[in-house]
Amino acid sequence: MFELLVILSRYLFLLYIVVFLANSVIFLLDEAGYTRRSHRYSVITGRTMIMLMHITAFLIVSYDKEAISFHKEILLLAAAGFAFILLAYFAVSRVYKNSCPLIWNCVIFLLDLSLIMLARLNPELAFRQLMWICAGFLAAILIPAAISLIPRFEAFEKLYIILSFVLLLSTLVLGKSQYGSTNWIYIGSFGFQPSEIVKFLYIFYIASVFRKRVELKELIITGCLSAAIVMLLVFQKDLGSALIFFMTYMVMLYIATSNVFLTALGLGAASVASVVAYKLFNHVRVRVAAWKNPWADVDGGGYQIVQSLFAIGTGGLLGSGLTRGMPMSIPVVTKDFIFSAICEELGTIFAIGVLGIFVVLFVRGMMIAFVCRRRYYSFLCAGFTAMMAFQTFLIVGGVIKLIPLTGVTLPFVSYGGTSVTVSILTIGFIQWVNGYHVSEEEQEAFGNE
Amino acid sequence: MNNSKKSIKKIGILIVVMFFVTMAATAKITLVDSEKMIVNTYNPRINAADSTIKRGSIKDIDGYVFAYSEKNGDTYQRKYNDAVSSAHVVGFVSAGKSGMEASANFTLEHISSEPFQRIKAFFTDSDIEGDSVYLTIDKDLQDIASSLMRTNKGAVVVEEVSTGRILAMVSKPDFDPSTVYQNWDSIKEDESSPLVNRACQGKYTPGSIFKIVTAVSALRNLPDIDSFSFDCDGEITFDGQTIHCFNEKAHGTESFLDAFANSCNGAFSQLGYEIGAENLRKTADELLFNRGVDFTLSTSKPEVQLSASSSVNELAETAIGQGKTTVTPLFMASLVSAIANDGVMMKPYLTDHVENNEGNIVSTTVPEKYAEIFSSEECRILTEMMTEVVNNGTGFNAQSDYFQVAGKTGTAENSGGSDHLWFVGFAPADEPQYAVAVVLENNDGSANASVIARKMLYNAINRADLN
Repeated sequence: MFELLVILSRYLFLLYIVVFLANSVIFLLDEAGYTRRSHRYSVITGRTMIMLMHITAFLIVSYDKEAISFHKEILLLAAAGFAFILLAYFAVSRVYKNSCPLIWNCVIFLLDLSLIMLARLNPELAFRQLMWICAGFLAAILIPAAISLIPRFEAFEKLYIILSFVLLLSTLVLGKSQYGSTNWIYIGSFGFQPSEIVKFLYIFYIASVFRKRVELKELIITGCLSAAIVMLLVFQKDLGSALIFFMTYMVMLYIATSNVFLTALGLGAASVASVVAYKLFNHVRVRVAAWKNPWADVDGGGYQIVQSLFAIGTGGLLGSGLTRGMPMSIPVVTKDFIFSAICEELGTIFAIGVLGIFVVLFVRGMMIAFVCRRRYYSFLCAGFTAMMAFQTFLIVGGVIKLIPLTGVTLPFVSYGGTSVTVSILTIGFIQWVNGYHVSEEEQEAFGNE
Repeated sequence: MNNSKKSIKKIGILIVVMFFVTMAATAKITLVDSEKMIVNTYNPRINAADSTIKRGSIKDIDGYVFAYSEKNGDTYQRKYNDAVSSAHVVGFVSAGKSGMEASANFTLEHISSEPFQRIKAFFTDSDIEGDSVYLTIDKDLQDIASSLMRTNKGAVVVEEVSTGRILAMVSKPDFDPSTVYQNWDSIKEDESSPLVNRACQGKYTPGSIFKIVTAVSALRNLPDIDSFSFDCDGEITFDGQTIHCFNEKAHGTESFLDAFANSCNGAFSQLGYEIGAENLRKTADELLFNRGVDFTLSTSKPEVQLSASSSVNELAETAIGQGKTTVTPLFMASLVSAIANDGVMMKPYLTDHVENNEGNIVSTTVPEKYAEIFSSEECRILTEMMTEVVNNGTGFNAQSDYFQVAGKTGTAENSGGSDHLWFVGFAPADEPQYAVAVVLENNDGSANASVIARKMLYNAINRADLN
């Protein structure tokens, strides 16, 4: 009977995500003026879908087949997660004036999906993830107040970059190696990834510099500093983060200068650098070989990617049903490979829907950057969005063998305290920029009357 | 709109395009590549078995049930009807998994229209049933092959040349799948390794059947092979080592055709010498040695270890099928099938079709070309030569009153006791239908490989009359 319910639940999950995405599209159409309805209705429908998904999924995950009862701990987690969803909506609606409800919906959908998958894979991690998510939201709630205290935070450009280098260099001294990359720092038992925090600081820095007229001097300085960061990360074997920084720099440069020639030059230089890195570093060659033909070395270099493909391919369009797959056979499944686990148990269609939610999120972020008239805020927003988009693309593309695998986290979904907290903070800033823009427009509208 | 806004818009579009590509690639894995993932032996999911559902049955081509499941309390138990002669193909699930029970596990455990079956089971207490696999083998042929082999160890493979379907695959000694679990310790310790499927995993020295490969290499590398002539006095000496003809018989002056029909070791080691180690190795590789053929069950790779640095001795030994060369019966059956099929080797297969619990066909295996390894001209010459072997040469025991057999015999010397006897061939020679490979390991004299081959070809061609 339980098996039957799990099998039928696959259709429910499909329904939830389709309705959620449809309402996201309706929201965007409403806002663009194609329909005449208020977009409140679609926001509430989206929220309802998240809550239904939460309840359905946790009923399945917490059920204990052998004992014919429910795991109390997981039920507790489910209740805490539900309370979090309600509180988060309440808090952000109070603190963030004029924030975009669609973005909150997408973020909370992804965070809840993270809790569901982690509860299924490793309940203890799910508890910790929930704590990190709460911490992230608490920090995000402070953003508007912090900005009102320090209104011109673009003035600290030097501080941002100095801090970035301090953090990155500290891993050389204090760093510990995990999953082949030396990018963790431990203070007591508390570990974090400096590169995640640097992502945040780096966008602040570049946006601060580029808000002014970009002359040769700025180009050289930012270019050299960015190259230094990228090289430091390659040196630490953190190829994914290195690529993210590079792509973000190129995007910011392109937005600030609109100079195709410069961007092409940068990409050309990067191609040369990748070839050099390929010749120079063995770990780069191993990654590329594993991508080109993972089947040649199933037990060795190709192991991770092959296990991921097995999960996705065997799961099929509808998935095996939550708890009915074998995602434990995928390496690092709670972090880098969580997308494969989603594919296996909830199905490829659902997983494509998850990508759709990411697209909605990024399109929204870029739209805010597009409409915002203050150059600095616009750049911040574009930088944050592009960075998150590249990160998502790198890891999803990696686990489906579209591009060589580089170990980075899937924003909001992968387990990881630093990653999830920084992702939420990033969204906080994007939302704050949105609020700033809307209130400015409102002021103008009053002025015109 | 200023420039930076235009750029933001372009970046936004770039991101959307990137993600649409990612979505398409994700869908492709499930829609296009998933079959490959599901049959891969490294995929841990294909080994999962659930004793609360009724595992599908394994049947022969005519529907004879080799393996089925029966309810016993809350769980199901695997049962076997008489499947001894097909034990290696059918396999078992009791003490680990083997044979088709392992290879087709995912299919046997796959519940078609699962929600419907589960709802029905909930209300009516009916079985939740996996898909059933119909094999290409015929139990009658299996039984015949098994009894023809008598007390010999070895293997028999019968393959349809135009499709690659395996009609018979017998390996001896065998075991009973239904008692494998009870007799596990004695079976495991049996020195004759009854669990090994010799038909696809046995690494046998080919002996004279390898002369087919040497002959092809001669056709490809020696332009004046038509005028080849050899004077056989029963032995030939290379580099101090003497190679004898079988029973040290002197064949006299022979052409290329005679030498093949007489299976003359002297002539073929001389040919090998003229061809050269590198060229012979190249031909062997072109005929899929050191690569093998993909198959439903796990197979051993056929090996030829010649290289430019091989000694003259090793070259001469290899040319007559001795030395470090090994082949499997399945590979040899596929190789002669290709000769019979105008040079095209079909991919050998064991699953004819899969049916769901309602008896509807879920999938049918479509024959696949595996490789084109001979030219039409080579096939014509080889068929002529192999016909001569049967009519006027060493393979006279394979002569049939009903059809013309083409084939090649082999006697493989080996360190482990008396010789292995081989026969590989096909029939009818003018319009080939079936290929056969027979090996009798350390032949004890109770059976003859050429006779078994002839009888198997007869029964395969007249399969409709069996039962």
